Amino acid sequence: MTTVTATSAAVRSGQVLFGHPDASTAVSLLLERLRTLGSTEVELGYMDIGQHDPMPALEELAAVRRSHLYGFRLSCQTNAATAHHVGASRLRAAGIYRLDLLPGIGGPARTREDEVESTFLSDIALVGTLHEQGVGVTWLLALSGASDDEVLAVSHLLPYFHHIPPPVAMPGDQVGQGKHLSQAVEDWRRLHQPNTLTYGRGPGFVRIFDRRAVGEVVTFVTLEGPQAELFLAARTAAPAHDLALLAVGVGVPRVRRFLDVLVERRLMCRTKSGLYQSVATRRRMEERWVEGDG
Amino acid sequence: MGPRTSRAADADKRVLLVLMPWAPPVFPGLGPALLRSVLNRDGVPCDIYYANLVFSRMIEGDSFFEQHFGKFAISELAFTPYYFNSSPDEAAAGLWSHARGSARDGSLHKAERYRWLVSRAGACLEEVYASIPWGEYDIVGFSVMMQQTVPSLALARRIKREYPDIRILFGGPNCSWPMGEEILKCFPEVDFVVEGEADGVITPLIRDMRSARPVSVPGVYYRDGQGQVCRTAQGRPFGEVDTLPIPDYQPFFEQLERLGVDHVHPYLQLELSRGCCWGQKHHCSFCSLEDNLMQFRAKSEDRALAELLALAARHRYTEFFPTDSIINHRFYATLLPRIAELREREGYDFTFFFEIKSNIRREHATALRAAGVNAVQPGIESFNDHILALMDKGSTGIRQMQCLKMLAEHGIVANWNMIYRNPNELPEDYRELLSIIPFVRHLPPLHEEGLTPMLLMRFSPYFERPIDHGIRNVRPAHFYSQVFPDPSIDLGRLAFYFDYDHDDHEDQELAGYHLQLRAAIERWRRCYRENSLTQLRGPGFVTVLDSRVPEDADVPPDEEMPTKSIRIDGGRAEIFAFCDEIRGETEILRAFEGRIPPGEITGFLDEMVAARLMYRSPKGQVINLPLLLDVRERSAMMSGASSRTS
Repeated sequence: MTTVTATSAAVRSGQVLFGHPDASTAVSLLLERLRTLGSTEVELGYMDIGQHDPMPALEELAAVRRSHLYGFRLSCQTNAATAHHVGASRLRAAGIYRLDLLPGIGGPARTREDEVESTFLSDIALVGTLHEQGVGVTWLLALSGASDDEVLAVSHLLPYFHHIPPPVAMPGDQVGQGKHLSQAVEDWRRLHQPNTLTYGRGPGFVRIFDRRAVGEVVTFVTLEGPQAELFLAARTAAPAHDLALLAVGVGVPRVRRFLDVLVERRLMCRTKSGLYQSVATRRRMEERWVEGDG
Repeated sequence: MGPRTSRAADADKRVLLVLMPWAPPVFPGLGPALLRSVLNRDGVPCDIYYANLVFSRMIEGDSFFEQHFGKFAISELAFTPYYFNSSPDEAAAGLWSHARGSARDGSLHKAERYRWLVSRAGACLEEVYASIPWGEYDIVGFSVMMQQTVPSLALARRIKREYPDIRILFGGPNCSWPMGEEILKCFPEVDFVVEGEADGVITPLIRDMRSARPVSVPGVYYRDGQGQVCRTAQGRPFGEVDTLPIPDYQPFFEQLERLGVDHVHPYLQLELSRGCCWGQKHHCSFCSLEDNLMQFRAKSEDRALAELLALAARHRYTEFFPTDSIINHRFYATLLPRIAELREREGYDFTFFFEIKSNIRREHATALRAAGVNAVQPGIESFNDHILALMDKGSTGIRQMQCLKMLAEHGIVANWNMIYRNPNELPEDYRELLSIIPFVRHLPPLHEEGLTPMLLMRFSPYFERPIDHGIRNVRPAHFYSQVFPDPSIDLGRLAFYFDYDHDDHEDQELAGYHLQLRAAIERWRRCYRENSLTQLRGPGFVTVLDSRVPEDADVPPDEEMPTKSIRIDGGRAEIFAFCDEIRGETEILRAFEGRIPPGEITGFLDEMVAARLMYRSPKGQVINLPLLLDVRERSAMMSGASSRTS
């Protein structure tokens, strides 16, 4: 029996796992390296779909981990496109418990007028899903190249997401609307309360539990039938007319009114260009009506 | 004003079922809800009134009264003055005295609070009586469990006084023989008593009651023409559980909303089986489940799943409380994976609290967790093999430890109990038990009210065959004479809880060990830290992370200890991993024969036991103790974000 210090040195093994053409061999090599080093804490390096598809290696790693009950503490860096491609649950199943999203969300080349807002929503949804899966995520809110109007528009969206982990840093200048943005991020860090807005799903309904109010009063909203479908469909940002396709015979104006009611209750956010996105994260299994119940 | 009649339009009469306090307001009352569904299915209109919700509002959702005090058998004393015309102050004094006696700090209980409680009971009866249009009903049924007899009698008397034509029917667990018979003998307000499960007889009984013909269905007590209490043929447990309708909880939710009882956060009751698959072979010595109802009857997986989905869709609810005495062991391989699949495929967020037998292995805990079971009641009751044998639990101390370990690894809350003062236990049992507790201090301790002396309850083997266990002078528990202050009542036939004598009660050494046990449990609660002993497994090694609070350390409850990391390599790591679940020492030696010398294996096990990283039972079985962090985290992953077990 050997007693060592609590913190082990991380091992950079990204090239071993993601740089090898054969997933089985890659995982075997990784295991061999870990056996030699006697470490469970592993830094996998940068994972990029543009260079190698990490999916086979991650699936192989998940299978090995499951069958041997290995307790790896894997971390890696990636970009939003790769994380979207792999999916939060697959990352977690492979044993990735910490992820750095690089180079920062919100800064890709723009092809649409509302690209900044929609990219922000897409990536905050990713952060929310990673959080649901128990993956610790660090991310940057970088809006380089965005106009003052675009920065201001994103700033207005941030208060909807105080239940989701805030960005760790926000590079860029602090002039113009950047001041609004940095203030909004600061508020987010100060007011961040994880798991205070969640939804649970059952056959034909969704129940949203809201604990964001001061004093931890629990309120809930139950949505049924087409309303529930709209809420769930809007986990990915979409305009009202797209969402209205799910509510046959209801019509866009009525769908929009319903969505706006959810926006008023801060259960959904709406961009300047009219995209709607539901903001609650999925309910944890431990969650009860009232914390401490049961 | 003279008696009012309820016979104005007999053809339109309905049945009313009433659920009185102290039925917990968080549950919509499976029994009455199911009976209502049976009656409505059979074309007999039936309503339910949840008087327990009225009471909950009356006592302002007081969490102590509602969640703790209401479980005491004496709690119905709050209603005694309203049936027996006894002194409310005396009732309050009796309740206060009991509360002080059973509290850790009796001074926190104020007499005024109990006077208020008794006055609230009276106000509740008034409001319930005033709220119901009694003229619409010709039969009123009361579902009577442990603490509902006096509240039900008090309302029944009030009804009969004003509406003598309404027939009063009592049923439920507190009406089994001889309790039900005594109720009918002693209380003229009650016209009929059904014993046992009423699902198969309720409709013909109601029809018999409404006709001129004598009651003919089995399992019913009634009065003959001379006023003598008689019983029809012996009732039988309901066998075809798949044929039962799905209970309708709509009236519960409607009344919850109408009454504005906002503090009640309900759980949907779900009945997947009746009886006990273990108890029908070995009746645990202290268990009060009636032999007649012990026969295990489980719903089919298809029916169980259909009921779950129907209840969830109807009430738009995802939190379920199965009422089963014990989970059907078959469900681990059948129903639970199907629920897990629904979670995965449809995204349904169902969660469950199950009662389980503690003989689970990792695969069972995994199946529970994957299906959304976030809390269980696994019994446990002791870690000592002899005491468990006295209880006829069919388990051993090391099995109980394995159960708690597996549940903790999977983030499943275990609401477990420990029973002391068991007949014929020995001082050495406690010496061993006290020596085991330091091995399990990283596992969640039993809940606040979980340490209890053995209570002698009707129908338990201890009650049925007291002489076999050295139990003598069995008598109704002392408080019954306060709850039922009428000397003509045979409390021996009406009571559920009993006091008794036993030679062990004179044993001062045992009494001393009971106190030591209580102190050890207190220390456990103070020292417990979540995830304070975990293991991370890698290829060829195991890393144990140990931040347990030393047993004799005087540290504040929220203070964390530094983490010590212990690496175990090579063959030793393999032995350690091999002992994730219970292994016999011979089995271990055989598994590593030719690879690791026996002496080295034994030495390693000794070393691990000395460091309390493994436990070795008196029979030479071994289990490693740290929680597999990976399993823990994967369980959290299945449910979303960070894990929490308490």
